[in-house]
Amino acid sequence: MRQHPLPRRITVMVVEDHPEFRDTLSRVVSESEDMRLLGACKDLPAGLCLLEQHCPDVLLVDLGLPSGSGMVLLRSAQILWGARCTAALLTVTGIDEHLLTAAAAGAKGYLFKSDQAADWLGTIRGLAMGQSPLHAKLAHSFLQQFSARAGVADADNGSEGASLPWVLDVQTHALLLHIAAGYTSAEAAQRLNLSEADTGRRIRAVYDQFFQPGPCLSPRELELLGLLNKGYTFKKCAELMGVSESTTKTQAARAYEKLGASNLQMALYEARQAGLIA
Amino acid sequence: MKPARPVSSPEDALAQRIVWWCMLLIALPLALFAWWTYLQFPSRLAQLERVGQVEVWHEALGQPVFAQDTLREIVRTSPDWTQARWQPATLPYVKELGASVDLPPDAPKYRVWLRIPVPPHEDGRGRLGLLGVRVMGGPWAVWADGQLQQANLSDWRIQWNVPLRTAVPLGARELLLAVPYAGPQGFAVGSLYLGPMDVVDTAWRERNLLHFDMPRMMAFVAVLMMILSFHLAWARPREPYFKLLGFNGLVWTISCLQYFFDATGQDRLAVWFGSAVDSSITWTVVMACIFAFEIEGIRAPRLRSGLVIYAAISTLLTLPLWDWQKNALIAQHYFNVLAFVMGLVVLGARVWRHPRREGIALFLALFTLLSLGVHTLENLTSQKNPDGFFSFPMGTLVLYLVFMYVMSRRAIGALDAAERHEHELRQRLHEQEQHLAEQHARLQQLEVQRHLTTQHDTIMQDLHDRLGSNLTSALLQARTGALTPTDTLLLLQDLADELRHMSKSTAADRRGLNEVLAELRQRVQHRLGHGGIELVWDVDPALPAAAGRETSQHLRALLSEAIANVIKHAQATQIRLEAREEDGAVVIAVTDNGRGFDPGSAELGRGLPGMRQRAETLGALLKIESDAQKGCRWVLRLPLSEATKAEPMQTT
Repeated sequence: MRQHPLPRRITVMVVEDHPEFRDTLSRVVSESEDMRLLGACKDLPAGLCLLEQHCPDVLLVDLGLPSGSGMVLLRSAQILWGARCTAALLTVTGIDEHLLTAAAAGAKGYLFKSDQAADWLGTIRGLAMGQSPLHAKLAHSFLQQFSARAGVADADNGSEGASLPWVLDVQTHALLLHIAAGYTSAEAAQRLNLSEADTGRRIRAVYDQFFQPGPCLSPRELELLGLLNKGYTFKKCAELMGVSESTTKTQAARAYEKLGASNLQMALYEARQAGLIA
Repeated sequence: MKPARPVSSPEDALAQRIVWWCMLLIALPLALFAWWTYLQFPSRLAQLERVGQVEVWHEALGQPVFAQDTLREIVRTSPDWTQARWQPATLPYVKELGASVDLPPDAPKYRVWLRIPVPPHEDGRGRLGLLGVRVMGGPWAVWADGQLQQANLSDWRIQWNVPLRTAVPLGARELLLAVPYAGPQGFAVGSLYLGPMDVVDTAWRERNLLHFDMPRMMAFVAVLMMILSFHLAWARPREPYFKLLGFNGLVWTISCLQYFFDATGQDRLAVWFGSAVDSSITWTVVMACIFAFEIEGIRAPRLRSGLVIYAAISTLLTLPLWDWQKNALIAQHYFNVLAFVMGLVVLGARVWRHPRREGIALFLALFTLLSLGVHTLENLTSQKNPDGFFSFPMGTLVLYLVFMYVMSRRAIGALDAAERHEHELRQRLHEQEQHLAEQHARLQQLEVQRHLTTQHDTIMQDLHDRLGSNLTSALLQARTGALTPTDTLLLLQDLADELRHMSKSTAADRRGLNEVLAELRQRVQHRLGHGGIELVWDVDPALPAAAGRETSQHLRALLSEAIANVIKHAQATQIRLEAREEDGAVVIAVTDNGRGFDPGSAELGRGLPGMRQRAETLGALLKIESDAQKGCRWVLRLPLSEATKAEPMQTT
């Protein structure tokens, strides 16, 4: 990675409730030469606040935050900054289902908490350069999803095939198969005569296919829906968000409209379907 | 869900009652006014002049047999006026009929003559007429000044009930009314009136209303009741009321036939007809009593069967097959009264003990019928003034009205009960539904709970299997102090790795063999790295094999053991895992470049038997090739059977 120095430092934002891990990761990022920590927050409101002010190159989010699901942050990042910000999950288990849901919400990768610091930095660099990590189980899940949706195209040209929805070009398919069979992405790249960067980009393309752009809810609306989903009343939500109750109701009405729902239950259902809330 | 509600609430019923009372308050004065208006019309009879004094002569006819032809002859024959012995008499003029009379066909016959003086005719009053309320006996004839004016030859069963009406010839000075009769049978002539013919006509119609029109109306009521009741009896054969009521209507209809048919000229038929009519009255009485018993719940089986047997016997005895039937007819009616009184006493006792509206109404109606029956019988036997009319049909009207009242009360009661019952059922159904809904909710809750518990159990099992053993061994090693910081790091890394692979898909029943191998790699990767052993992964990505839960467990354990042996004993720098399809079998090989060993030596025997056993369970062949310097090669040959074949996941 060093042979391709970036023109500027990679900006990183961390939202993680586990204090020790947050501190460790923050320290590792801060101490690296090519990265800059934009901020590290411990919960959803703080994360949303920070995200509204800064656009990080890489956003690292833990899904299980005490004040709400990290999915909201993934969506917000998509809405606020689009492709300028690459979001990824912080995970201990790497459970493929969560990753799939997160990919639908806009996540482009993951970072194992149990990995070594060097691996973390490598992953962050890869993410910043448009590459994505993939482990065997997730590759298996991706393959399953693809076979369930469309099958594989016999396109010679990778870029052309990849542009179509739910179609994999042969090389990427082979890549996924290799990774699913236990090869690391580096080994798979070697076996398939691909460069490591190309491999990462191909995986990123797969992630991109799984992204489902949701309704364009504003971060505040998303936050409100998240709170309502937890069963809070409008009054309580207003209190938590620091606005008046009538404001929350206006926001909710706008959110309903965007989701095509007529009441709270429908709106929550639609939002859940869209992966906006857990 | 809508709560069950009664169809008519008490408030509704009250409101309807009030409406009824209001209507009654309007209808009752109207009815009273109508009745009062009716009473204001003076009787036509008052406009006629009642014949007070007459002269009477009983002409002896000898002993002819009364038959249609002889009677016709007698009526037309002028008497020998010289033999006339006139005696003064007052009207009504009656010769009573005994309760038990012997009437031989050749009994002495008479003709009674009544001489009625006609007041001198005044000009401008128009033609005069004669009205006789009732003439009982043989066919009457009216003579004027010695000439026959009018005769009624109708059968005596009809004509006794027909009021006499005749026009007086202009200039007539006296009228003669002749009634032939048999000595023992007697006769009766009611009041006679003289007056203008038009008034006589109207008064005659008024009288006919009582004699014929009303009883005919009763007959129609009886027919209607019979049809309705038989229909109901057909639809509900278990209810005895309808049958009894229908039969009642039937017998009364039969007895009413006398008001419609004149059997004059057919003597034989007339006799049978009369018998049927008289017997039907017996049946009417008996059926009315039994119906009342049924309604009042009086079982009295002996009394009931006694009544029926009586009716049957009296019907049989009065058939015209026997000579004495003509006399038995009157006696039959006396017995009817007796039977009626018995039934009424039983009913009265019951009503006295358990007074209910229906019972009281029935008793009163039957009592009325009995009274009117007795009155009619007295009339028939001329014990009463013949001016009265036969009131028995009016009694049946009262009786039928009460029957209808009783049946409608029953019907209303049944409807009310059904409604109440339905309401109760609805209520119960509602309760049951609620109960079911509650149970359903509880079951759902339990189901969710159970699901959660199962999930929890699976997770706990996984945790125990994957993390528990590692934790235990780490703890034991740490306690004995045999754990270096490096080992600690390694152990914790293992634990973290294990955690990585805890996900739902581990619980899946069948997984691709590649998946199992990939998972194995994740487990051993760090450990190998720590031991400075390079792992070369050489697995066919399109391996067409799958494994069940148990198979994959055995496979994992087997390969883990093989790799663990390499780490522990081989002092290797590289380990190679190959997996590919070869001649219908999956070959998995673990090769190291360590120092090798003698597969038969006892030192390594500890791990080997277990591995062989697992291979056997898998139905696989385990081969260990080892060269002293070139390392070791474990080859597992797993035949591709139905159980291990993978259904192709992709279509390429």
